Amino acid sequence: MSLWWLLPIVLGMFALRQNISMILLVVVAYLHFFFGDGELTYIPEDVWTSIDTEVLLPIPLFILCGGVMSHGSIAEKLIRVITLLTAPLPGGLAIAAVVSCAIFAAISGSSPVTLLAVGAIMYPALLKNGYSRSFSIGALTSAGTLGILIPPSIPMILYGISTETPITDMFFAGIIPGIILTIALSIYALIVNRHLKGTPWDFREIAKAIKDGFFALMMPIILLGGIFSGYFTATESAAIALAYSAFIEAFIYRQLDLKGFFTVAMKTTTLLGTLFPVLALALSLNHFLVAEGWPDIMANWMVNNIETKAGFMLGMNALLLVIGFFMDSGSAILMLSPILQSLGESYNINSVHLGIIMIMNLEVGFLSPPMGLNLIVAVSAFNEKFGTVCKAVLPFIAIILCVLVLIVCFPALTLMFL
Amino acid sequence: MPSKKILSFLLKIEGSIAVVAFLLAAGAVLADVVGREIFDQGLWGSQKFAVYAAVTAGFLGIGISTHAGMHIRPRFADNWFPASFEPALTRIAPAITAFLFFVFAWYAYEFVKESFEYKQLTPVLDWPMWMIQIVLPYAFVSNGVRNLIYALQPELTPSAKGMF
Repeated sequence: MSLWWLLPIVLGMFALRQNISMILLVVVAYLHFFFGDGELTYIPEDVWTSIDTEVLLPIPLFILCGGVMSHGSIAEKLIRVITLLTAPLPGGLAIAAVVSCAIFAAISGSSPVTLLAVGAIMYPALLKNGYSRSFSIGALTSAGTLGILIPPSIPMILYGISTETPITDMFFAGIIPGIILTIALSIYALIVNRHLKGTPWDFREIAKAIKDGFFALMMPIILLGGIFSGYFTATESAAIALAYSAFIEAFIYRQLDLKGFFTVAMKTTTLLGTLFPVLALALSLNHFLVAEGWPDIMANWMVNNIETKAGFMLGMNALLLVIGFFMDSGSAILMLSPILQSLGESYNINSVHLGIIMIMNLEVGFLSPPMGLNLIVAVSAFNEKFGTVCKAVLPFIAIILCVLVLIVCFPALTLMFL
Repeated sequence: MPSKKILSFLLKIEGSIAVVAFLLAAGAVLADVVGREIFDQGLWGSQKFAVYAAVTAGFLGIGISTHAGMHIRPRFADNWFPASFEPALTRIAPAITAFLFFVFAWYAYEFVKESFEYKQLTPVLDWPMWMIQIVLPYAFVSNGVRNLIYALQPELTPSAKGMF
């Protein structure tokens, strides 16, 4: 049986409306049957080996933590402080929206959660203060994607797991690209909204907002401080962030009761159930490919056919941008990263640098139809047409691509803290 | 309607166990950190316990996600069949999913049976491995049953909601 038969099988499954995990299951079974030992019991065995590991633990904990923060008032209090601080700038509220997304991203680890939490508060405020509908939708939908670039980030954890790259290294590497992108988006917000004059700082209001939001402001400090100082592992940081957010929402801000917590936990379990089969099957596919030596075969082919590092980079970025149109970032990272890492090594590309490039490409995937998760979330969150949201994010995609070029050309921007 | 009752029974049972398992996983990691910081000694086996609790929650979560219509499915090929095929597709799609789940449940059962026969133990905790692994075939059978019900009674199929 040829490998080419997989293509009509996969396309047939898409047409027959099968979900990603079922398609992966059939792909893994096909490969085991025709290219492995023909033993399908290896599939559950590989699945079990892939998930029986501590490195997966931060994922559910960060998702639950994001849920608790969105349910309560941490996001609202953070945004209040940032809005007051950016008030004097022309287009200050738009800049506040971008910076709020960046800061919320630093505690939630997820792009759609960031978009929902910040968008729910900032979208009505932007419209009320004279910002155009198109700009407001575009800014919030795009800045929401900072969630996967700014650490801690779930896609970074997934990349670390599937390529055996230290997760903390990935987190360190995301800092500068995240800051550059936040600044680039803020500058664009300032230029577009320069006609909207700012208001002078109200120091009394700022002091009051900081006092009210003190515990919420401590959240990114505790979380990132713990990870970057090396005091806590990613798993421990996730557990502490969860306990801290649940504690302040329940006992200080009094926004979370037991019933609310159960609702959030149930929602998180549902998300986990969405991610888990894809994660387990993609990792088992990686096990098979590595055991059969496929990454090496592909690496040899690439090295013989693509001579330069620049050629490889160009090809890889094009591939990832196209993949982002059809696949969610988690599945794409789990399926492609071990192969791309192995190919990258042939061209002396650092695994961490490659991971950040991959994540930035897939960040664009969050904004590109038909699988762009942030587009889909924005359509329901802002109650707008799909076409309107797609059009609104176009200038922001251009900005992300410019920053991506910068990151590709200057590896030091990702590796300077390692 | 018995099918509706089966679906809601599965959701209630699996949802409750998954949420408890999830909270136990978070609690175990936290207890380990607290133990280490306050008593200079982490909680023995807590990380491994947390992994198994999260695995249980994750596999039971598959069914909850199916119930909520939240599994990731690219939709670009949805119009490849003529519109007249739509009623048939609403039955064929879940029937194929159910078939795949049942087939995979069989192989998962074989895997767990082997674990049981060889008396394999979990690392660190030394628990019988099959006690944790049993969640694999269970989750696949449960999702197979759900999808079979959707194939037989398409009106019970949840509408796709996307991830959030």
